[in-house]
Amino acid sequence: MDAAVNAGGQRARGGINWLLWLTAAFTGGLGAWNLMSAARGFEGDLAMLQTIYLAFGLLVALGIALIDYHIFERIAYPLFFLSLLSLLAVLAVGRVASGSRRWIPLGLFNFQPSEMAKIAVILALAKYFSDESDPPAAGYRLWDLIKPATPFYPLGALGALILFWEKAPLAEAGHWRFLMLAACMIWAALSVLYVYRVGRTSLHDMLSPVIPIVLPAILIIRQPDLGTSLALAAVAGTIILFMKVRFRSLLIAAAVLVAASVASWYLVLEPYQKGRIEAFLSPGTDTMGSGYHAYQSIIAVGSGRLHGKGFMESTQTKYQFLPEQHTDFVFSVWAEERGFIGCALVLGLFLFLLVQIVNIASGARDRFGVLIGVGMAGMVFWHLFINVGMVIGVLPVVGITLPLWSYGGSSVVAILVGVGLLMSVSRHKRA
Amino acid sequence: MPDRKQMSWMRVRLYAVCVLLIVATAFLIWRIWNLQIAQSEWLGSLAKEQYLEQITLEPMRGAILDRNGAPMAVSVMADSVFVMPDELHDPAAASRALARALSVDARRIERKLRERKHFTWIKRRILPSEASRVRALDLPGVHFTRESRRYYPARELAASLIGFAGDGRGLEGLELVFDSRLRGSTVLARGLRDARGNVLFSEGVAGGDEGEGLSVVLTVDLTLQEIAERELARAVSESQARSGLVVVLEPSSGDVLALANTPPFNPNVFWRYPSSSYRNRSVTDCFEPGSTMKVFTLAAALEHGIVKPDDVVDCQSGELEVGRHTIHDAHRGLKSIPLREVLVHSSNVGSAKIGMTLGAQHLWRTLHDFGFGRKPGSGLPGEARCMLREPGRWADVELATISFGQGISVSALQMTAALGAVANGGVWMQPRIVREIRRGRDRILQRFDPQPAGRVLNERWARELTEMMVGVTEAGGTGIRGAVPGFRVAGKTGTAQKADLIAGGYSKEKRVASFMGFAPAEQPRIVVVVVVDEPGTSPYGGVVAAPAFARIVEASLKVLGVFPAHPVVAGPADESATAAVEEPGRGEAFDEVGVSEQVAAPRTQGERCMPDVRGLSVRQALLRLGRLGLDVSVRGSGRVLAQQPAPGARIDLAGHAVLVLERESVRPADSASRPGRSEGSTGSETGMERAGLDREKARRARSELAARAQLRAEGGSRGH
Repeated sequence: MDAAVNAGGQRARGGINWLLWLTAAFTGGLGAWNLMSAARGFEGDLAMLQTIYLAFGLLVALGIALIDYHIFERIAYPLFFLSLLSLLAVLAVGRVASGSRRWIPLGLFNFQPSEMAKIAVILALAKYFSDESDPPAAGYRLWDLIKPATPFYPLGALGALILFWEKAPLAEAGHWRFLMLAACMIWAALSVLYVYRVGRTSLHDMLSPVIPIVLPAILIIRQPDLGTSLALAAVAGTIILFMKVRFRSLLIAAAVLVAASVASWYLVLEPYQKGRIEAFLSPGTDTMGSGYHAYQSIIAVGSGRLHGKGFMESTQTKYQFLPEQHTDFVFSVWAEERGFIGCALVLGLFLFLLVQIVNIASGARDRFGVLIGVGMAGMVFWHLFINVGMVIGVLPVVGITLPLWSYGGSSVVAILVGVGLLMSVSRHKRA
Repeated sequence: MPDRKQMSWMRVRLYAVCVLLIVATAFLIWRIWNLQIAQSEWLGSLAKEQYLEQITLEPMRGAILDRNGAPMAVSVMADSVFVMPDELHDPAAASRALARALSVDARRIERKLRERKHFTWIKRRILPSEASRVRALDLPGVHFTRESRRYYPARELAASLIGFAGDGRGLEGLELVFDSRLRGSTVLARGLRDARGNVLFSEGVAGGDEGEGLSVVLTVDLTLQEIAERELARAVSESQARSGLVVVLEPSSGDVLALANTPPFNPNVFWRYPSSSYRNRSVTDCFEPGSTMKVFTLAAALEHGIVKPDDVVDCQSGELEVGRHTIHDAHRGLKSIPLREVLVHSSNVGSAKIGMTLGAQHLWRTLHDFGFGRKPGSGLPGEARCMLREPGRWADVELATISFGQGISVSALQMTAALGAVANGGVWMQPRIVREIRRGRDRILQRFDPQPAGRVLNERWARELTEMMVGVTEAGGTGIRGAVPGFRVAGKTGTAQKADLIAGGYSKEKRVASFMGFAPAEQPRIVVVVVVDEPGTSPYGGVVAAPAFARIVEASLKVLGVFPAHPVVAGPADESATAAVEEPGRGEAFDEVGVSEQVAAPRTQGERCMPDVRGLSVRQALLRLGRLGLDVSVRGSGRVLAQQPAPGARIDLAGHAVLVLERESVRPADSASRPGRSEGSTGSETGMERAGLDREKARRARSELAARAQLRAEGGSRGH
């Protein structure tokens, strides 16, 4: 399918999808309201700031909705490349907060590239799969996904190795790293030569859908931010699974995944992360140590009961028992103050949002639009599921935000950019 | 177009995705239902538990006072030092300074300070002087909280009786027995706290002396106790004995006036002594009494009408065959002697013959009535029953030997109580150690009245026995050294062989020397038993125990205000004792019975004078004034500089005295903030100052909350 033809010739068939926009606005508004209670005790009015981010994001969404999303099909790879650069930049010059290097200071505000990277990865994968002229009907094999012959694969692997093993930030690079980079360059040159000899020249042929997952994930892990890289992998995995993978390949992938998680226990995970997983596996044991977050969160949720304790009345929040109560644990504040009724309402709202996204996907004109929808649905869903699951103790504690609810401009704006894309897909839907 | 087929296929998958999303969300909602509805009760209570801080304030432990109100064990508020290392600038320098101020190891403190903790104790319940030194350092991160500390102003005096308390709990002695009364009930204070443990708000701390520990007033007289311990220590060291016991009893009431053991220990630093020294051995340990038992054999014989005082006993030249055994007298050659002289000569043969005439059943009955073989019931912990076998199980020779005090074991307290019955005209009084329980210093909650356990001896025989015992301390008696100039003293010596636990039978060298008696014989005021265990110099009770007895009786009677009717011509008791057999007719001067009665002036009435306590240490001064029943306030610390009332002034009952010490108000800042209190003075240490009790309580609640908050913060902050 020729993307350029699609992009040029189509006119919008639908109007602006105000329902989606309003659902997002309403959800975000509830989140900001909740922040008024959750972010008590912090300097500055975080709820007000969040409202400003939300308003800005909603405007951006409207703006994107007016653009034909096929433009993004053309610039998906450059956007992905830019995103990679920003992730590298944050490692080099990022601002450190609570042990992580996640933010690039931009004067007025701090930009968190990993949030925008999620959108970039969705676009890149959507672009990749819509470029596939003939997706295998029986599903992809692992081989097709990894494409071991592509030159970028060894390049990426080496770069990943460097970034993975070097504990010091990139800014403090040593001589050996230049040697390694040189080796990568030589390898890349040899790869290009190889491709030339084989006769495959199209960019698509040289790409592998693993690259948009592995490269940013490794860079984000280096911040370190395990939660975001996991979310990113989950979103990308959703898209790939949606494109259908052979059953045997799935089994192999699952086996590799298990092996990788065992290996990561010894190689990647920090002691505090292991502690959290241990605390999750045996809840209630280390309530003053690794299990503290989960324990306090479950207490908060459970003590909310049917009606909740009322706005600003949550004792867990008021007395700061809840950690990260304005970011990762906002939902437990809501659960404590609003009780089961409030929780069901919010989850219902998110489900409504998700169903709309899937609906937009199913109405999309082309595969790129469908995959944007799938990617966005995956992004919202996985964040929601992992975050709420963590808050209510069915998943281990991972630093992951609740979309539109956790405090943070980058996160809110990234989601709303996605909403804008969806609105554009909706506007240019099938006849 | 294949793409169209592809697209419709994608839509099928999207519906599947939709279903998955709904299922996943439903799962989340189910789990939230589970937490918020099914488990809400439990989780809600957990939340409440975290933010509602229920603190229990340990109440101020009640005091233990002697019969005149002198403090023997009191609780005072003492400072405890803790450090919040985060606030510290230079841990090394700080630990050096703290070590110097608190005389502890600098390296240990530094290790504590370097630990990654938010809170660490440095030293708890420190002395006021240490506290003022630490305050003077003015280090950041060094904080104080107030905790109660037990203080024993009388130090070694009656230590094994009082026992001690640690960490707010009674651990030994009366502190343990009366723990629940002394401890009082805990006061509940409520507060809200946040995750860092900061207490945000605290409410109502019960006022008044609600919950304060009750005071226990003993029958013990600290002055008599001091005398008993002094003389016992002297007797033990002079006779190179292993240890010794003294019990002093008031026969008319059964009040234990003094109870002394060696070796002594200081309950203020009890952990420095072996736990064996904590035992109140006058009550817990048994020994074979020896000849002192003859008094009770005679009592039994008289009571059962077997003999009359004028009967004659044939002592068979000091040899008596009982079955395969032969019983000897210490001094051979006694032929027929009047019954009254059996005690004077302390004849084993005589006693054995009387006992054998009496029979096991009768002898056992009387001994049992006199309290042998059963717990005295004084309420002291670990009272020994000791050994008095059922008469049916006595071997032939046992009847004979028990009659002179071998083959039976007794505790010093049993012995004293039994003799008390003789002194009390034949009525056995249950020994009493606690007089009353009070709330505060003067509200009596419970009074323990003297418990007469019934007549065990006809009054006539009691008088006869007393006269026989007076003979013992008179010329020709074995207990002449137990005589007290100016008084007729009833006494009896005892020298028992110790059972040899290793070789079996009796040890050749090891003896228990004892002396028991009471005075004045006409109107007994005190019964005293002195036991010296394994004396090295002489085995005889009449030699090693009697002098101590005499000195105790003499000094105690003086303290009790019992004076001889006529001036004493002879020298002091010590010298008269060395005169041994001489001093004929010393007793005649006091033939008149009950002369001393009129002279006996109870100290608790009539005019009393304020003693001069200037220059004394606080402890000494408080001891002396406490004995007079004065309520004393102390200002400052160090030695006494001035006193009010002035020395020699007349003082009323339950009067009030003020002592001004060398260093008044060592912490001006503190006393300024709390007028009327003299913080950090040894005065408040004695717990005598009662002003501002409620304020003190409220303040304690606050500092307690703060200290706990720190501890919480220490634990809670790890979660971040």
